[in-house]
Amino acid sequence: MDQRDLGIVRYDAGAEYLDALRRLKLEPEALFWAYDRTLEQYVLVIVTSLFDFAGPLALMRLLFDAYNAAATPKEIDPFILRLHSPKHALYRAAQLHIGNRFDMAELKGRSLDRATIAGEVTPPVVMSFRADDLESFGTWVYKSTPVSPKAKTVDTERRWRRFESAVHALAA
Amino acid sequence: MDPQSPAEWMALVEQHEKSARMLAGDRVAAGQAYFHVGVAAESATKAYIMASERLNSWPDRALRPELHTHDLRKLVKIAGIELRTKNPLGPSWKVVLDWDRNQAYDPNPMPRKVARSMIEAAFGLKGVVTWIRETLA
Repeated sequence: MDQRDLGIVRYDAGAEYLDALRRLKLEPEALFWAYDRTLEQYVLVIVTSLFDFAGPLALMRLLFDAYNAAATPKEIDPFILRLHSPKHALYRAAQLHIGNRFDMAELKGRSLDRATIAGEVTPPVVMSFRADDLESFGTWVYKSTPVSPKAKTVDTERRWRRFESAVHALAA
Repeated sequence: MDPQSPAEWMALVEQHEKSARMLAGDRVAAGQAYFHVGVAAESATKAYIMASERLNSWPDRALRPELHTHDLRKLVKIAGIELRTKNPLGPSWKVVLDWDRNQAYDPNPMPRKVARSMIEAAFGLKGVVTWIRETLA
């Protein structure tokens, strides 16, 4: 299997996942696909400072609840998610290679290189970054933005409460 | 020498659980608590495999090389443990399965919240080690 052949269906599902997170009031610092060379499968990486604030278990519980309530795309089973803190090596590698700020939402009018994503075209050089067993390519990134140095704990707590309330409201 | 029975693997689990709980509250060493949680989960899964396959001793590497791994995801697959999104233990399994023993070499301190979260995923009421303990009892 060509690891770079992410496939357009998976790519579109990832974009929908980001939209779903935003509807649930979770704005991650980064979201992208990566290939896990140990497991030989694709994983959707979510980088959020809420990882350090609430811990991975509380965060994962909400993401499972959102999935089970059909608030996130069914194609993206939470078992293929990979949660990371902005302090982790993978995010630092993404920042280094993708640049300081990248957000698909801001690329108005710019056509996406769908042929590359679909595996129809394999460019001779593809920007890639890796950490441990994960490797990603520039075309798989939906968003990668720096953590605000001015962010205060109270702001992070507010973000967490908003996300938590939005997910809990699904069950109401 | 590897443990040779489910009880011996579970004795190792207890040692690593205690180590994890002692370290989780320490601002400097919390990351090492995360390491001990991972080893405890690995040991518990190996105990589960021994019990479910009714093994009399831990197989030699030459006989069962696939068991001689620290990769929890591979071990869970061998154990035949089904991971379901609607299972109340699903989030705990997911968090524990993402354990990476290489993180023990990360010099950056780990937030205590993250270490405690890992402990809950393993040893909490809906923790995976708790579930294995109950299953083996």
